[in-house]
Amino acid sequence: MQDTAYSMAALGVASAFVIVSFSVLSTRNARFRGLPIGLAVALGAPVLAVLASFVVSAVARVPAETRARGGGFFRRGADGVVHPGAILLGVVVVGGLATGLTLVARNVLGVSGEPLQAPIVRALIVGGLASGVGMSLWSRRIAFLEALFVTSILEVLVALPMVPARDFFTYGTAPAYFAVILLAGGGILLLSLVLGGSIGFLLTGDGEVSAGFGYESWIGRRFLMGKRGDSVVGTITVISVLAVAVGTCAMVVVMSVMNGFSTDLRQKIFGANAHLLVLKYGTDFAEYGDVAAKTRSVPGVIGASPFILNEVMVSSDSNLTGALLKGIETSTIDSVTVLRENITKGELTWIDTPEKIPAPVKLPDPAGDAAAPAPAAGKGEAPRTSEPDQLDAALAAATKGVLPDAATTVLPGVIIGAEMSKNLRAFLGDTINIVSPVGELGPSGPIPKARAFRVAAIFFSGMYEYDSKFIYISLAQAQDFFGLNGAVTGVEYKVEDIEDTQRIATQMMKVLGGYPYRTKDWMEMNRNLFSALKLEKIAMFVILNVITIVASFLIAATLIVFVIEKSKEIAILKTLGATDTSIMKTFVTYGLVVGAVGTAVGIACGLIVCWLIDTFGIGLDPDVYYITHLPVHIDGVEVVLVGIAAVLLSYLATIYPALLAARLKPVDGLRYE
Amino acid sequence: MRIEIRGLHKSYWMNDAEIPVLRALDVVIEPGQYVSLTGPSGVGKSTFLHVLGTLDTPTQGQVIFDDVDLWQQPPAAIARFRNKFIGFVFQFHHLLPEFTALENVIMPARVQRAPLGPAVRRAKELLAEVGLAHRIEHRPGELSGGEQQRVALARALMNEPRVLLADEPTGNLDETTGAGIHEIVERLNRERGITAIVVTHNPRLAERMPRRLHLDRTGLHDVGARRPEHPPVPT
Repeated sequence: MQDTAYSMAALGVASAFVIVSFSVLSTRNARFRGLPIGLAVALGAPVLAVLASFVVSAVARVPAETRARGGGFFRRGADGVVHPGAILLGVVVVGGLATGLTLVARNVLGVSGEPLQAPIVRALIVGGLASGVGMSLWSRRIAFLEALFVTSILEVLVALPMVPARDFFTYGTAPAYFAVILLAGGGILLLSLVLGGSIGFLLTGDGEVSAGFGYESWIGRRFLMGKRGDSVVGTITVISVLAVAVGTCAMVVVMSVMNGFSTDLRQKIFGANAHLLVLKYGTDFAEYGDVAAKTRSVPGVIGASPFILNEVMVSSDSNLTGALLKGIETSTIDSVTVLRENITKGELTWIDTPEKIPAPVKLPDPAGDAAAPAPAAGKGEAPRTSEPDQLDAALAAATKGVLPDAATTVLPGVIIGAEMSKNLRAFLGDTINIVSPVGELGPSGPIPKARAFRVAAIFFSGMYEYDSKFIYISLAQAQDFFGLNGAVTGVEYKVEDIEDTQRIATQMMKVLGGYPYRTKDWMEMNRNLFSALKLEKIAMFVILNVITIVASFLIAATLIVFVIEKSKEIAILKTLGATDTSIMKTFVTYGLVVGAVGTAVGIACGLIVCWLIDTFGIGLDPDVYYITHLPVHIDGVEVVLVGIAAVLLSYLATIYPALLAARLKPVDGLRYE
Repeated sequence: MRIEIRGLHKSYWMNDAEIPVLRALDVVIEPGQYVSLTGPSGVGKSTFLHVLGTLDTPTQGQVIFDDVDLWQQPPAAIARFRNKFIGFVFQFHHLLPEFTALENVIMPARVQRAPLGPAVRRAKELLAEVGLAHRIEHRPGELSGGEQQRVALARALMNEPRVLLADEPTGNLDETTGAGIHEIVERLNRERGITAIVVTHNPRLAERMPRRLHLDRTGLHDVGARRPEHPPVPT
């Protein structure tokens, strides 16, 4: 057991070093600019850690037996603690790969910012696995301590120039975020290294490649079955399987429901919004027809429609609210958004033909509101700039008798959202006033421009923000209202694959020749929302994984008991010539079986629960959630990922007990009966 | 297989205090010899056998099998050597309780990753040879002490070892059953030239063996090698 105490002490020092370097670099990085201090930390800390582990191991006493056999701190194999060569290998391979991939991605492929995370994470995983295998081969151990050192050294090296690391995360440069990057990256790297190391040791620990699991899994499974239920291990095994299953099940259900919400949100956002915008610097974007024609030929573009967007104020007789006014082209809008489908009352085209808008339904209102004079529809009471063509249209409409009260003018139509309709108490056919802050210049400064519109349609998108803020009028009306002289704000596009918008945007800029045009995609427009959703999901994944981690501790504890119980059998197997790695494989089999069975049961349960939720539905208050029932969307890739994570954790839990079993000396197991 | 022990020291440690068990032992065992090892309790007979059988590490000294210094080899090579060349029989048979007699016997072949078919055939032959053909599907718990020891013997012979190490194999058995076990070992030594080293407390049994070693506090002694009834079989 002294061997263990010895390694544990060194492990403790190494972990303390990692924690200290994390906290120092992450909380003080804002002031962490002086290169000399950085270099001192980078070079000094690992040296200090090694020295400290020397001291600690001396205090923890190197077992005399190990010393008698010539064992020592830097030795390879079971008699050593840390192998410097393996550490160097890990640092060079992982550091080199990560740096190389980042440089290639940044300079050759032109990737920057958050997308840089992907190559870095890949480099950490691939480099970690590869160098883990290499380190275990060289050190003839799983090389866990070495992995810890590699991770901490690389953390320090990354923290030094900081700027590239900051690039990967767009939330901000606060120390907390920086700590998150360091922790996440370090965690991924450590996991990959240990995984690679343990796999490398299992496959090559015998001094030759032996991928065989044949008799080991036979024995492992037979041990698992026990001697007909007479062992405590059997009961704990069942509990461990259940724990893994509960964790996996919870993870599948929660991820699916979160996916459901996210998918629902996405649908609503993409339904109401275009995927990509082309904008122009300046306010003279009159050649939008040409631009739309040119860019529509870019592969992947489904539709294009010009628009005008401005902030306005909307007032009805009873209320007042701010709004985003969007001028749209009714002929092309369907190729870009699903506004027409979202309309619950009225017609989209009535904003072009306002004379068709029916008169408001007048209901006897017993409330005090009745006192408010319901304005005769179409009466131009609000101040407005009169237009001769409008007059003509109004006259024409009047002659057709569409307007029952035979108004002299026909007001233009506006589409408002269901929430705004509720707030303003403006319903189909009612008149509202739109006030633009950008008005004409009067003697005492700018005078806001106001005009009356009639509600031509009401839409319901399901997104509160849209339903309470957006209003639509025809492009011509908007150009006129804002005095744009035929110009628009931009052109909006719908694309086939929303993940492809960046490429399409680049290609559009090529077609248009760059400045003065620019593009803006959905990710940019809704970045905060989607980033938050993504972060929330990652956080949920990590938190729910805690259940599986607890389960894996259970597996580890069970296995340690199991190893003690089976020490005689282990000794017998060794007597028969089983190698250390074979013994390890026997016990790893146990963890893999528990993990695999638990995961399978958990995923099955999770899918059944999802199916039940989807089929029978769990009602939600639509006023609060804007959705009538709990949405479920099962993502196959995620389910597989959940499964892999659970099996991986179960596997990692077996390593220490399995190593304990492998290190058991045959004589110790045989001595007592 | 020739076994040579040179300057063997073995100590145990209790809280850093060295407790020497074996001190400066030298012995050569020629191929095909049938050797008994006697000595008072606690003198280190089992430890000697364990170090000889590569189950325990020597603190100092060499264990040489046919010119190969075993403890200079990597652990996995030692394990493979043990699997291939050494068969063990212990006082407490040490069978795996979860497996049937047949499975216990084929275990060394499975450890070697040998093909299963021939292994099963050979295991059945061995079990028949020790008189247990009718009990191959029984687990150790369902066998008598003598039967268990015979299964253990069959297991020790599975990979056709060149050396058989037995630690009081009949210590727990009545005289008749024990004699049966020894007859089998004797026959193997005679017919196949297996080098056999048997630790025993039974002086009458030791008398029957061609070479007798005695271990006590002063060291390892050859006590009157009897004229071999048959010449050692060259290997």
